Parts: sequence; C-alpha cells; structure tokens
Amino acid sequence: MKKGSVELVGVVKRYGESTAVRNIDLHIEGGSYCCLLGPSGCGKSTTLRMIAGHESVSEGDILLNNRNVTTLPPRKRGTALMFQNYALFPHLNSLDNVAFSLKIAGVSRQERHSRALEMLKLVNMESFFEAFPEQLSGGQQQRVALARALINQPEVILLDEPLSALDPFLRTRMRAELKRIQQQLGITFIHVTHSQEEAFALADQVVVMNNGYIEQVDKPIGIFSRPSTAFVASFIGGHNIIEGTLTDSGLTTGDERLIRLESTPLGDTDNKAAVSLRCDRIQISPQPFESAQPDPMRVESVEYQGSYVHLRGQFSDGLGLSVFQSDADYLAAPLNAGDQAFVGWRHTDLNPLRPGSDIAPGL
Amino acid sequence: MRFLTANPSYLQVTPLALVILLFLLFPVATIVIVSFWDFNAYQLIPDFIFENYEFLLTSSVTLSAYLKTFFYAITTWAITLTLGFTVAYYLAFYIRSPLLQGVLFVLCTVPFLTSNIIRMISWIPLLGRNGLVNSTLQEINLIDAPIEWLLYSDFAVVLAFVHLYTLFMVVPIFNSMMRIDRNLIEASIDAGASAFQTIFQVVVPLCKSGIAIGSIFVVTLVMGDFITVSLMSGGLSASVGVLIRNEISLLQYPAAAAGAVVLLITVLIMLSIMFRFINIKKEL
Repeated sequence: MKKGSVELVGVVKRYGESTAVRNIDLHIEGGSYCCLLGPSGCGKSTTLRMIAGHESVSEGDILLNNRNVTTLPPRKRGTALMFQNYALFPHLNSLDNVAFSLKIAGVSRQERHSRALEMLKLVNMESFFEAFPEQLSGGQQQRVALARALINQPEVILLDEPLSALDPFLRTRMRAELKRIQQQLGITFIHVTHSQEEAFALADQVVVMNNGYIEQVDKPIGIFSRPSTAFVASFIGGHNIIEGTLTDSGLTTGDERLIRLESTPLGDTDNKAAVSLRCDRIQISPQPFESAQPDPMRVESVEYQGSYVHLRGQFSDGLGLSVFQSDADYLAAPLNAGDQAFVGWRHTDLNPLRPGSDIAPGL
Repeated sequence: MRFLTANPSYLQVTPLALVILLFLLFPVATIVIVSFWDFNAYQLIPDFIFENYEFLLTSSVTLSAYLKTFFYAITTWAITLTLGFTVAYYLAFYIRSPLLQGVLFVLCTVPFLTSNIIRMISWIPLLGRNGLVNSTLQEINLIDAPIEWLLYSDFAVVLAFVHLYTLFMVVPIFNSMMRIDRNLIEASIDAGASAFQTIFQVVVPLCKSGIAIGSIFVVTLVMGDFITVSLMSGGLSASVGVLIRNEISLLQYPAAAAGAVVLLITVLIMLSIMFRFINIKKEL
C-alpha cells in the first residue's frame, strides 16, 4: 500500500449535546488528493481537525498507514495542518516561520535555515525569505504556510479551506499550484472546501458531507454524473430534482405526468421517490420533437451565462425545470421569458436518487 | 493667524499642548532651575551653582539609596512580571467564556477601588509582631517567637509594591494576549511544540509590547515612590524618593530639586533602554 493512507472507522464527534460528526467510515488512498465537500456546519472541518489531532474523537478510530493514531498528539501523526487564515507567526519572517517546527525539534540554525529555504523554493517564495507575514499578500502568505506544512515531510497534508481567503483569479492559480505540488511530492492531500468547482478541479476522490454524515464518496465525474442523493444533486448544482410517486411504469409527478424510467431500483411502487436530471442534458425547442414531453413548458426566465444559457420554466401542472442550453442552440432559435417551449431527455439521463438527508438549505 | 488657518491641525493640538506646557514642562523647568539655586537654613537664594549636584553625586547616602531603589524596582518588576504574565495567560487562554473572562478581569481591578494608603496600611495588622500571620503560626506551634522580618523590612516593602502594582502588569499583557490569533497556538502545537515551548516561542514574543508597557508602569512607579517605602519599612530604609521627601521637609528645596532631576534622568535612561527592545507604537 502507498504511504499516507488515511482511514476513519466509525468516527463520531460530539460537543456536549450536539453531534457534529455522526459515525463516519472513510478510506483515503495514500498519495491521492481528497476533497471534503459540504456546506458550512456539515462536519467537514471537524473531521479534518480530528485527523490532524486538534480535536478529540468521541468514538471510533483514525488510522494512518494502518497505524491507530486516534489518541496521538498532532506532531506524532505524520500529518501537517494548513490553517484557513494561514496562521503564520507574525513575529517571524518567512524563513523562520517555515523553520519553526525544526527549531522546536532542536535542529541547528544553519541546517534548519537551509532546509526551510529548500521548501520556500518549492513554492517559489525563496526571494521573500526575509519578509514578515504582514508584508506579504494573501497568496504569498499561503505559499509560505504551505512550505511550513511541508517542511517535516508529512505523509498527509490537511488543508482547511485554503483558498477561501483569496480573490477568484488567485484562487484558480493557487489551485493549480496545490495540484502541482501534490503530484510532485506524491503525498496525500485532504482538502476541506465548500466549493464544488474547487473539489472537482482538484480531487481524485470527493467526499460530500451533510449534517455530520457522508452523503457520497466518488470521483468528481461520478459525483456529477450520478449524484446519489437529492442533497448531493442540489449542492453541486446543475441538476433538476424531480420528485414523484413510483408506479410500475415509472415516476408519476404533478397531474398524472408519467416520467418513464430506465429501471426502477428505487424501492416499492406507490412510494415517494426522486430522480435527478442534469440541466445540460435537457433538450429544449420551440417546436415539438421526438422524445419531448407532450405538453410545452412556459419559459419563466432566461439568463445568459456566456457559454450556455440558463432557462427556467414550468409546466402547467407545476413541475419546474432548469435547462442549460448551449449558446449555439440558443442563438439558432432564441427563447424569451413567456414563450412556450418543448423539452425532452433520454431516459438514461434520469438518475435515481437514494433517499438521503435534507436538501441543502438555500439551494 | 494666516499660519493657523493654513494649518488647522496646529489649532487642534493647542489645548493639549497648553496643558502639557502648564502642568508638565513648566514644573519640570522650575525644578531644573531651582536645582542650581543656593539655599541656607531659612531662604532660597537664586544663583547658578553646582554644589547641590556635587553634594548629591558624591554622597554615600545617595549611592545606597539608589542601590536600594534599584533593588526594589528590579525585585518588584521580576515578581509582578511573573505574576502578571501568569494571571493574564490564565485569563486569556484558559477561560473560554468571554463573560467569565470579563468578570474575572473586573475582579482583578476591585482592589483599586480603595486608596493606595489603605491597601498598604491593611498589611500592618496582618504582618505585625502580634499580627494575624505571626499569631496563627505561633498558635499552630510552627514557630516559637514572632517572625521579625514580616513587617518594617524589605520584604514588607516589596510585598506592598507587588500588591499595588501587579495589575499594571496584568492589564497590558492581557490586552496583547487577547490579540493573539488562537490558530497560532494550534499551529505551534501542530509543529510539535510543548506548552512551554509555545509560551516562550510564540506567546511571549507576541506580547512583548504588553510586557514592556507593564514594565514601564511598574518600574517608573517604584522608582518614584516614597510613601510605600517609608510606611512599610517603618523608616528603616530609604529610597531616592524618601531622600527627596526628607529634603523637602527640611525646606532644602534646591537639594531636593537636584535629587529629582537626577532621578528623572535615571528613569528616562531606563525607559529609553526598554524602548530599544520594542516598538511601542505597534501596541497603541
């Protein structure tokens, strides 16, 4: 097995009466980039801090390289935490910040400075070695913080929303930088974020969390093409969630509208069930077409988004859909708010959802 | 007038400048001038002589008074720093609830609702020959005769100073500790630092300015004190302040003024040394 594998077994975190993390099982492969994705308060940061050893575990075990580290102090685990606001020591310059843990370990001044300089070179910050944190920009501070996390050659780097304090332009650049360093060093990165864009761009494995539970663990493609619960589908966005009642021939929604399903693995008939449908997999046209729903939908809003157009519409029976239409299709036959339009999709694009926890608030 | 309308900021600082001029610069200037005057048993004679300084700087009494004052200042400083740092650290890092933090902080300041003199005098029934401490110790047969050095001794003086001035250490140190980002403590633990390493590598450097401000308060207050020393030592030891006060009571104003000027210069030198170590502006 590759070094730096992390395993959580039945991990629970309680704060007094409330439970932040409920019975999590998770395996993270060594040398992979794992993103914990979820809304604020879903327990992702708590999970990260438990792996780091800054938060005690109420129940369960944490294994690093198959070694139980549940009760070990942070430094003994072989992990390094990079804080959300970087937490650089304001009284030390970049070099001494990076060398801090070596100083604690009693490494001689000359050696720790030369090793710290190596790390600063890795993050392209060697020319700022004498600068104090207050003299550095957010992105530069982040690089120094990353160098500080890397200096002890940890097997696992834990990043707590590392990009959230940066402006959007810098965020994309640092994102690429993080991925480059992770691949160059081949160590495990566990990255907490609430941005699905960030998670999709970086991760080998995305862990979607909600309300203290893990909703889904998969590759980014798997998460986006086959979200397993209504929460995941609504949180990552770009999906319609169609709820209805299961019948023998499919899903009935609204006024007897029957949506034919490829298969019905959702449970017993006459039960409530839901499917997700990607907004960009819906075909929309002013004219009826084969596989289109028999009745037209009233277009309620049209938002131009650059490469695509976001149309929201509603059928007369109340079923509402969001459609992403490519800008070429849109320009060929532009639709306006108030128009009637026919929509259709392939049955294989309907993704049955497993009943999960609640839909994310505000989505 | 045109100058003032062109630079209204000068107008804005005028009130404070006048206050400082009247209540600080003018008295100090007077003292400096008087320190060069001559005097005899019943009058002051305007003059320009160096005899006051000559007498002051060559007298062995001055030397021993200065040594005593430095001893008080350094001992009090060391004890109040240790105590103040510990109390502030406890308040800032161990008390999690802001409400309890506020309550305990106010509790620290409660003794300051009574006057200095009363707080000092209240030690006397406690520490005296037949005071509470001695009688209790005798009661439980720990000692046969009363301990003599409890009151009217250097111990009593330093004890009173510590009692009076620890808060001046606690407040600025607590203030600068509260500004320390808690993540820095975690970052230090993450780097493998023990609690003591975290204190000396992270907390102390980050509240250096609080420590310096507290030290300035304590050192200047102790250096200039005469009432605590004469009261708690029972007149047995003399600090520089006591010397000056004695000269004033003998109406030897020029000699007292010379003593005050030398003391002022000494304290200013000590302060300038402290300012070398820290950037006080950062804290304000």
